[in-house]
Amino acid sequence: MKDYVIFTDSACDLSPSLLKEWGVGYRNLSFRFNDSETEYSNEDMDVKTFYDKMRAGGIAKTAAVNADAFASDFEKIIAEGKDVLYLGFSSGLSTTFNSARIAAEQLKEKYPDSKILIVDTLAASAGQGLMVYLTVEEKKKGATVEEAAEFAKGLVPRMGIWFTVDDLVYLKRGGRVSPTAAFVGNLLGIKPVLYMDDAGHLIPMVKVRGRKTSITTLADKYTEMAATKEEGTVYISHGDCLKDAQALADILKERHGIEVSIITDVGPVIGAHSGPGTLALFFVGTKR
Amino acid sequence: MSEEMNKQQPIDAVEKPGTEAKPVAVKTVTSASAATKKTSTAKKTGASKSKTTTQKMAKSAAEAAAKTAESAKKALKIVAESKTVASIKSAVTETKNAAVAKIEEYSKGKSKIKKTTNAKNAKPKTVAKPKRTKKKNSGGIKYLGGMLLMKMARGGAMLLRSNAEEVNKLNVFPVPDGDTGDNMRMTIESGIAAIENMDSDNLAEVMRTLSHGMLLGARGNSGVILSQFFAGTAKGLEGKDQADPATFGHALEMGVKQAYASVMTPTEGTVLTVARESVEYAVSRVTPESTIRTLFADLVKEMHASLERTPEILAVLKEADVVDSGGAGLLYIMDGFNRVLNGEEIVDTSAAVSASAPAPAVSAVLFDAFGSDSEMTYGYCTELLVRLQSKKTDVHAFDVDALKVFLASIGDSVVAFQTDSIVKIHVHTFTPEKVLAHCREFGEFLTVKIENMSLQHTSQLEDAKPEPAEEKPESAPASKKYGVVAVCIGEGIEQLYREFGTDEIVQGGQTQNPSTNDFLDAFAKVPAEHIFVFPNNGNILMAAQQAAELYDKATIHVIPSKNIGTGYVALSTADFSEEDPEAIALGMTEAMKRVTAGYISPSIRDAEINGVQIKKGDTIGIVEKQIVVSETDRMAAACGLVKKIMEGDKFMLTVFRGKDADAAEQEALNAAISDICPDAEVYFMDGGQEIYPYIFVAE
Repeated sequence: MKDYVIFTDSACDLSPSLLKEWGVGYRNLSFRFNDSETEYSNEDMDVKTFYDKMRAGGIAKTAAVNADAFASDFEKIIAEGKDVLYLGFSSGLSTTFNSARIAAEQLKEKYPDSKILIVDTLAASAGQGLMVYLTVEEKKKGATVEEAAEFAKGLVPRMGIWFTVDDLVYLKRGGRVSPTAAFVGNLLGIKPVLYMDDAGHLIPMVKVRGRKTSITTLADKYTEMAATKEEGTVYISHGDCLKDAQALADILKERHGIEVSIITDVGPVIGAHSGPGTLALFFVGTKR
Repeated sequence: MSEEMNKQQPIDAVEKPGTEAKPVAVKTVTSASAATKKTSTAKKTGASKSKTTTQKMAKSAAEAAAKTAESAKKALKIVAESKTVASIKSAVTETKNAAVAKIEEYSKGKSKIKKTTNAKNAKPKTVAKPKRTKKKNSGGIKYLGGMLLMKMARGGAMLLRSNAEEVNKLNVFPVPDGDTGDNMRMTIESGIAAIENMDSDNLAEVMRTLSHGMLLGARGNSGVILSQFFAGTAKGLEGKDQADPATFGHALEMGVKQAYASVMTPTEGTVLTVARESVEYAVSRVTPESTIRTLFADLVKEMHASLERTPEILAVLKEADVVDSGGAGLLYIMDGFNRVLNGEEIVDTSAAVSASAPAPAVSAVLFDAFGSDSEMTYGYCTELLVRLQSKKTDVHAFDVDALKVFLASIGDSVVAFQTDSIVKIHVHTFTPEKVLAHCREFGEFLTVKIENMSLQHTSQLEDAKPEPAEEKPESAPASKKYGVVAVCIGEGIEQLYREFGTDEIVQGGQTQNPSTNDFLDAFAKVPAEHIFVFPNNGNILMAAQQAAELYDKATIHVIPSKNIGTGYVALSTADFSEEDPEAIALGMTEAMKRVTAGYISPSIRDAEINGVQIKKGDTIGIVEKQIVVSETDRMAAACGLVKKIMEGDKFMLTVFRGKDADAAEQEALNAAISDICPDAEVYFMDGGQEIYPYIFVAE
């Protein structure tokens, strides 16, 4: 059986060292602040520095990965004699996945014997990361590249991706959310709880009063929708609010005895749109 | 009231048909002498006719008189606003002049007033009621018809109007609030407006029209209960073009039933009890010999007694040393009915009344309306009680009309009338000093009140007039599923409510309770299938619910918000994309249960409540109808309140900054709050509300 490499992008918010450990390849999306031309990747700037800049009013812009970049990445893998399984950042939020698709199409003719399978995770941040992890586990169990791709596709409609933001203004600014009528007006003290739907879009689901309530609401969603509440892998990502992430993990542990496997930063690429204070919870559920 | 009058024997109107004393014209009654004459006449007649009945009646009526007096006295005590309200006696003594004036004024409207000079005086002595009005031969009425009912209702409205301010003062908390007297007055006046052009002797028709007008004009919970009482009575009279005492009594019982049904959790010791007990008593006394007059006499008599018992039932009343205000309002109305039955004409002193008493706190709030650069535009509302002095003028031949002519030459809105040796004067003028100088030519002042009307003008804008029950304009056809109507006042608050989808704001709040009709008007402007209503005040809730019952163009969901803060919390989390309106309403109602709201307010008088000593001008903090803190310093009061409401596992505090709180104070308060609850999320909103410098909502 031909070996394959699971590949992703930096929207998955998993650390390069961890991805390397799992044997997962990745491509960085880039970002810059609009007062400068300098482009950075998640690895170039400390998250604390990044969020402090945002809090000080800095506006960060992100750039999708282009097809050429993916093509060169995929070619390198093919050159090693391996196939590619790309698990990409939601096409509902970025053109990155489309670039990967174009690259795969281009390479198909050039390398008819190689497989470049791409899966639109319709997820982001550690939700995408969680899918990568689970697929890696599947590969470890001996899944072929096709089987692994099918497995990942099967996860897509079941991923629980719930998050809250401190201020909806960042998502609105980046055009990443179209707020319903309920989310206009003075939102002082009002915290939206959002989820990512099965088209990979961000949907404000409920608005609650106060940060604490929004954190509890995330836990409520887990309780309501997790496929297996007492076991399974749960990830949390946060935009420079570790305390809240910890609080959420504590609630889950208290309620269901579940240990959150990874608490990670929402990196700049995602954080540029969700802002400081973003708190996200990822699990495999029964549906989106 | 003079001591001399006090010594007279208790006496009251003779109830036996055909035994009326000779009519004595109002203007010719000069003082106690006439009253004494009347007393002896009445006694004689009573003795000569049916001794037992009459004496019994006189006795019970006298007791009733004592009760009214007691109520009035309690009202007076509040009026007095004396620094130490330790005892009735001292309050009355301290404010003797004011009391004299009030009592004179009241007795002009034929009240029975008791003055206890000795607190231990077991047998209350009553003032003989001077019969100054012409008596019609209405004693033997076996059937009540529409025409007479209209007259009675007008009398009832008039008597309440003349005494509305007294009812307003029966206030448990020393904070500005919805005035029961005004609310009930506007409610019944709305009914009166509805029958204004009626020319029918059909009892059912008149009662139906009257009560419908009241339903629409009802404001404040007391107004709503009152209107329901009448509506129930109207139902009981349906199909009856006239009613005998038994029938009318039964209708009143239905009125009581409906009044009770209008309240979710009826509280005894309120107007409900007063209505119920008096109706029960009156009905129990009905015999084949009864007349409409005896029915009302019994009703009013027991109403006095029942009102007097309210503080024994409701601890808050006892603590504040007042009787129930709603009950008092009902008594004035029914007493007015009764008096008309007895042939009395009830004098309208309303101009004087309405001008006489802007609530102290309101005027304090409105001082800003006349600043150092303001122009005098409206003049002064000038009101005097002048005691004519025999050394200066011929008291009995005093020419009030000449005085009116003089007043009209220097001002307008002139009201002047004489009762015995007291002349009451009301005039709007730019030169009040001329009024004073002129009046001293024939007497001395008992009271003087001169108010800059630039301030008053502002308050009158808030003083909504009762509206006649008009046909509603056509409602806009529903073009959306959900709409919101909210009661609030204050620029910031209104903006916040609008941002969360409020279609119509009904102007109103603590001191200004909108009517049922105001709600209906607002509903008609909202083109939605379902309308959520936020009354934002406990005393406005029932008017909103009543409007909801009456409105048929949309489904109305009343969200029982007690203040603008809790209402805001509910509205701000509402999800109007939800399909099920009941789920939205439930969600909002549940959201409110999770919050504790409190507010601080200046105290408008001295008081002692829950053992808390309160001085006028102190800032008091109120949570769930409880005074939890009273401090001289506003910031200290605010902090005390915050501590209280953040108890338990509260993690979030929203503060609505009022009109008269500034940014610097907010800054300081914010810092203080961080010390009190360092982990809490604190949000300040620019509410711009009147009266309350801060409203706090803890979640």
